[in-house]
Amino acid sequence: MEILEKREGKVVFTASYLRRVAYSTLVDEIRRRRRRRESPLEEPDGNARDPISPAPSPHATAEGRRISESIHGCLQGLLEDRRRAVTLHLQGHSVPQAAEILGWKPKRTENLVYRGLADLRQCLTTKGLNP
Amino acid sequence: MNADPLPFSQISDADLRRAFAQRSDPHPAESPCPEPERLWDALHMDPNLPKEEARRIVDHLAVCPECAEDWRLAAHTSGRLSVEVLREMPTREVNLQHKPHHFPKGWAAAAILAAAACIPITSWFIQKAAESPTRSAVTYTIEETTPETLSRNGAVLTWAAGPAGTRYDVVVMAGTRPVKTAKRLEEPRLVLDEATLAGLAAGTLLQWQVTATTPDGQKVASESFEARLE
Repeated sequence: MEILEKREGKVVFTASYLRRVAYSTLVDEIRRRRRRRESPLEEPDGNARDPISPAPSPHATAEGRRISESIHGCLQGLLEDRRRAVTLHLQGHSVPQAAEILGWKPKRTENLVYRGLADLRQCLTTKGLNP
Repeated sequence: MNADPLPFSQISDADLRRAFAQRSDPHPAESPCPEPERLWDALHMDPNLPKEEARRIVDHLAVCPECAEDWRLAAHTSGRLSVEVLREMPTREVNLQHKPHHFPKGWAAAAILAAAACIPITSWFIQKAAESPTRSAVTYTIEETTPETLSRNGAVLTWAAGPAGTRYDVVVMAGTRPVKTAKRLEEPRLVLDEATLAGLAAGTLLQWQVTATTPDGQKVASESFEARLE
């Protein structure tokens, strides 16, 4: 496997080598995170989740859980393709990225995201969580 | 006293993303959690992974907050999600009452750990031609060289060139509306003619992204760039 090459007098890692290292490191990191989730009594390491703010009130916690449940429920109520497009949108992907991942045309994906978000918002509103 | 939450019709995309990312209770999924390798393959459109399987993995992300978080980690590590987007999505209990959010230390540590665990990974993302006054023969970071404001007469998107033989795919959007798509460009520039820009109002913010395919077949995706139309 070619790892190093010389370009203009400099020794650099090849793109394919860098990509493989990034891939294997990331896979190892995800596996390590999954093991930690399954063994919550393990001693926390440096990557353990730290509190980012004072603990929310019980009301805020309960309200947050209701909102979270509502989002999940409304997502499951979307048409399959709209749900997929909206899921990637909620994950932070752009429309072109989502289209590529799902194997659809950008225009179709754009429509699915637009209509899916509208359906999601409508569903959340009908849940009656806002006063 | 808690602030009144907004009606959901007024909740921004950023707030929805935050709420989605802060789900903490996984729901029974029809499919088991995919192996990390399959997450990577789906995220990077590996041709050996059938699209239907990629879609099933996306279905799983909708019900499994932990896999959704792993996906975001993988996407950020490979440059597919910016830090700014990740900052919208901490991994805490949902709170749409607009309390301040902070970039979670766990996330930063995990992403940095994965990236810094091996120096070559860091090099992959930040490797530049700064040492040389001229562009080196190989660049792995696509940087834009386009002005912030584009004229309707002769709007040209430009970016730093890759090694000789690199081909470029470009997608230009105005919000969620596609403006132009170009495939396998041989030069690091894309002209947006007046006909392409005709339906866009003055002041429209264009977002565009470049995916470069180097001669050895590697794909490098840029960040999303922005330019405003005169």
